[in-house]
Amino acid sequence: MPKNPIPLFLLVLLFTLPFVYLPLLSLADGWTFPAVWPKQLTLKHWQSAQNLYGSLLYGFALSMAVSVSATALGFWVSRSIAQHRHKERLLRLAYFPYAFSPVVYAFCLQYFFYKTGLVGTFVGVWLAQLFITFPFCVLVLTPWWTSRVFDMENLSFTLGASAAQAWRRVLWPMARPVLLLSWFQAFLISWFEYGLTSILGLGRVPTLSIRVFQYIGEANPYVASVGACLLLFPPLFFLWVNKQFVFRVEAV
Amino acid sequence: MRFKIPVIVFLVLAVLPLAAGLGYAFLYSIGLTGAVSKGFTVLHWQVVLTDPNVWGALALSLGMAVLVLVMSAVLALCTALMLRKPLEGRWAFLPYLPLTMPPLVAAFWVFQLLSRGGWLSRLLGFERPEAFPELVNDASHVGVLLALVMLTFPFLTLLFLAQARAAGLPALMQAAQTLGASSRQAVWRVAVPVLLFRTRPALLLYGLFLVGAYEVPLLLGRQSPRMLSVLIAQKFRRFDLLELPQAYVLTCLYAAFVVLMVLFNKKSVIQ
Repeated sequence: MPKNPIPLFLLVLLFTLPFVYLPLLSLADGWTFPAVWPKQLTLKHWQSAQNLYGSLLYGFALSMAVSVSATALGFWVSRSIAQHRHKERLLRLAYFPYAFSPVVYAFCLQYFFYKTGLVGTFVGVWLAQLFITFPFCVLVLTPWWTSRVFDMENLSFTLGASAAQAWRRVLWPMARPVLLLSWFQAFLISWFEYGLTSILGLGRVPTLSIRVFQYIGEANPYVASVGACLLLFPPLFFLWVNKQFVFRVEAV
Repeated sequence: MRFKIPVIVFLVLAVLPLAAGLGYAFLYSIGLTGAVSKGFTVLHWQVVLTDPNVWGALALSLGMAVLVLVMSAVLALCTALMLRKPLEGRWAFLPYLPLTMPPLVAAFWVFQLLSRGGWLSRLLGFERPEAFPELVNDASHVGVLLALVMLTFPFLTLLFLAQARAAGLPALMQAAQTLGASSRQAVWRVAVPVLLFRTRPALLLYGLFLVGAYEVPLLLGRQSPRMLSVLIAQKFRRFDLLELPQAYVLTCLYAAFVVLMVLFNKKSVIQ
């Protein structure tokens, strides 16, 4: 705890204010200018936002599919890249799709997605998001494959372990934190994604981001804030769950 | 063979789609493909390169990226040096909280806060919305700036805290003070250069993300000038098919900028 609590208090206020205001707005009824606080609270916006709950599940399924496949493929590929003689060149190539604006990337892919019939489909959006998250997972996971990891694996083979045993008893326990980090980051990239999903999904892939943007565009702040709260919920939940494994709490 | 299949998968998933997309974009921009193409031409490149709106968008995007990075880095440095080490206990999760906020929600929150009838104008007691200054959808892009700083500053704070720990910064600063440096000298001559040098690749990469920002300038920006990603999307979505080649020219220009920045950024940032 810092000696001067005022800067920490300001930091707490800055970081937590949207997480207080947006739920309050979602519960407000008739909160118009110049009222500082809502006149009354109601659950009617949460009750009327049925399509948001459907989009929550749909988007969650999409993000889980993207994050699990990107992490699994990234882990498998990163092992070979880590031992490859052109490792640095390959990692540099992995930066490009990650650094490219997703919305501009989507316009580049649009022609091919139309030709292959992938536009406006769950599989198409999954594939397009995989093109962004997979290189990111490779970048995160390749540095984990150090000589020590390979030595531990080889030692287990020397001691008689099969490939499956080496994975289950040696690699998986060691790799769990970095795999969780990779999965969590890939999930967030997919969960937050709007531009690429709107262009290649054509409105037929109704993720939560798409719905929230629609309500913002319709100047319906109450239901938009319900959607915003739903958008915040899974990352907050996973942050709380992963706190023990990914974001270590540092002791003084 | 053991390495070949995973590397082939990597090239197919990570390199081929972008290369194919940019290749198609380039061919479209010089008239060699596309519904409205009439053969090789550099006309679309001439139109784009002489369009003041394009240069305005480029300048706005680069300027916004630099300004956001500078403001966020200053705030993050101050926070990291104030904290000196990561927060512990119940406060440990606090710096990660803003990272769970998508750009779309951040833009919505800033709009609710800073618009003329927004929460800030009510808290300050303005009697009429028109009396409050225009801070969103304004010519100066103040709302865009603040939303992007709000998203960038927590990430940089975590980055600086991690690098401070990795570099043993408290020990370095203590050594400087033992050798006669004042607290201010230890900060400006030791802490700031060490943190900025170690995070230079990450800052450059994050600057690339800011240049390509889409949701925040889409919601909080103006019709003109627009940031680069929004301008490119606008050209792609126009009903006039004759603007499609220009959209692809802009895409190629943006791609060239990204390639140059990635090649310039020699150090790996993820490590």
